[in-house]
Amino acid sequence: MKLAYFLGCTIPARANSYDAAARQVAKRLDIELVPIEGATCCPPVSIRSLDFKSWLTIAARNLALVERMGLDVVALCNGCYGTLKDANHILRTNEKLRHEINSTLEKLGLKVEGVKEVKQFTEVLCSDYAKSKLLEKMTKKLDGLKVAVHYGCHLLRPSKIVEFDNPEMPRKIDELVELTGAKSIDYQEKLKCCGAPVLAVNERVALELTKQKLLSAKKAGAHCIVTTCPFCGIQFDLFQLKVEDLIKESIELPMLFLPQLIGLSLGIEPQALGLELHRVPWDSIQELIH
Amino acid sequence: MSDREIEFKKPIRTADLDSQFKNEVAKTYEGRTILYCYQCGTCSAGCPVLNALDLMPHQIIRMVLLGLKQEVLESSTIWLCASCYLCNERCPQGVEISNVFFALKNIAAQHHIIPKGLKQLAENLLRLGATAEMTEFQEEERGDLGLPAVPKADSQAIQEILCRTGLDKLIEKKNQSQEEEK
Repeated sequence: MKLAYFLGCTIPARANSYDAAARQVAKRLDIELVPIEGATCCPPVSIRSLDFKSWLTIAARNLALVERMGLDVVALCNGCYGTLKDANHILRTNEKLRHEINSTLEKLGLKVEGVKEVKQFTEVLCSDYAKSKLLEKMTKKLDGLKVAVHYGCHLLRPSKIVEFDNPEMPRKIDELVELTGAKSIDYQEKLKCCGAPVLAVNERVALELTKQKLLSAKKAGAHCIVTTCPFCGIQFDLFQLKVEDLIKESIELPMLFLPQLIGLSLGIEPQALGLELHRVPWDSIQELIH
Repeated sequence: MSDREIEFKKPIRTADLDSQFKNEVAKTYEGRTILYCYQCGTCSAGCPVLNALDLMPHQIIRMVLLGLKQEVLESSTIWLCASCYLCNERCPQGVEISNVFFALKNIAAQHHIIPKGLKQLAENLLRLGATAEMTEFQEEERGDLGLPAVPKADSQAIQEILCRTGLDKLIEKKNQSQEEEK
């Protein structure tokens, strides 16, 4: 399988461990990730908040670059995924907007029709192809590990555009996590936002949401929280330290990106998965990996 | 209790309402579903940031329909929206509330209301073609992880696009209004 790889800007700037783990896992699944020459920021909802046309045109340019490659595109970040998926939907369904955007792209020598499919890396991991291959190659059992799965809003909603899983009761990542022998636990705030999208506007509100998520997962007995988005990941890892300062209480709940958890079950060295780079140490779960 | 100081709410005067505001929102792609709202409050019931809001999401929608333009554009609610789309998902009338909020923020930005943090992100995008900036430290980190160097974003293409769509002037305008305040 060959996919155009949309890296975005937050992962290389703030979550390289996610990129490292995804590439390691992709290699073992015989998935080739091809870089997109000239790609830029997706751009995120914060730009959509300021100006819809600016957001749509830049997203359309990224999609036009992918179209030229003749491949489906896969994003690692839920933010990039949400943007590309939604923009692709708009461009394919709204002729007037597509025409207008193309008149701008024309000046850059590009044209957009809309790509066949925009995928999130998690969708690839949850496919039957990947699951059967993973089962073949898993060498470590993660029995006894209790995982709080966090899907991230833009992997689930708006569901009529995303179409990944049931938006009120998703199961796909939980099932994938349980292939490793780990248990996906239920926790009250499972579907709630991590707080990251509010960070640039009001840090205190963002931290409040992060606090609710972390404490809820911890209370339900989770050993770690697993996510598929760099924004959510940073919120649960780096900002966990700020939440601890705020509530004057330690939480110490390690955050793992989904490919890191899968990577561990495949027997990939923790260092190659970038686990040492996280701010909340993952030591507490090491002994649960046999 | 009976002696407590009463704070009188400002009455809404029909003469102060902007009856065209709802149409201004409804004619945009993002705001096109707003007129379907029947005020059930489901959006507010599920909103993850509700406790931090000065006005609840369904109130914002109602205020747009009434024409309380200034109050809506000055409300912190529209900017605290996490764009989590839970309200879109649950609205029985198919109102895309998160998208309506994008439309409202776009209009607020045209009226020079832009939170500092978002302006910074837009400036990064204009300058680098990226909202998050990589430093040497991260480049080194990528090397240690055996990751390939990140191809440079085509920031020139981004600048051309944003000059055409006007985002460059939109955030400049804010600069001017800030200076005028000083």
